[in-house]
Amino acid sequence: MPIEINLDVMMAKRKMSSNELADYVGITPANLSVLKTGKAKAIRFSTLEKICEALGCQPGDILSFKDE
Amino acid sequence: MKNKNISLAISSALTKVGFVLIIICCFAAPWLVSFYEQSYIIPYGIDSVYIPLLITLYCAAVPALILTIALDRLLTNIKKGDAFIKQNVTCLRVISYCCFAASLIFIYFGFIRYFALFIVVAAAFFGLILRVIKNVFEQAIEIREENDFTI
Repeated sequence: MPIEINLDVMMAKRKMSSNELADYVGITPANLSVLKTGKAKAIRFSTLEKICEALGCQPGDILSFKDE
Repeated sequence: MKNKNISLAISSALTKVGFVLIIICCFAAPWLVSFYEQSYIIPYGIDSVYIPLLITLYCAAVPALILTIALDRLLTNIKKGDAFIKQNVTCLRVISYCCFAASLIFIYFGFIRYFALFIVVAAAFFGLILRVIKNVFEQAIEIREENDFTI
């Protein structure tokens, strides 16, 4: 997939655990793991908004486009 | 919700009753056919259809049994709450093939007694409807997967 999710990097920078983030965003840890492993097909704006809010970052910090 | 459960229970029970009835019919087929012969064939002096009818019935029993088993599996899955899974598509495909098979089997008897052609058309049409439902299910599974992986 050309769009990559670098959630791990950002979470490490902010020293936030998966469970903590999942709790803050309001999604299950299982769904967060789906997002982190790149199995997700789409992301809701509301989820993205919450993640950015929790990590204090921009969408560009967690999403990146890789030209294949 | 309660209505839904009752409806499922009725469907499930009817499927099981159908399964048992088919098995009973298999054992009682020779007797049933000879009863039919005695009441409708022999009094009018028409040619006997004992053997062809028996062969048709036993051949048709096979897809009928497979069909009820597939139907039961489908209902069990729906009861568990996952109606839109790949296994259900397989079940629906099997059911539609069974309908087509029954229709093919009855073509043979249709040449002997024309009323059987009605069963041929009905079974084939039913199979066709089920195929369309199967296609709908496939589409629904795709949409569900998309929805499940939208976080």
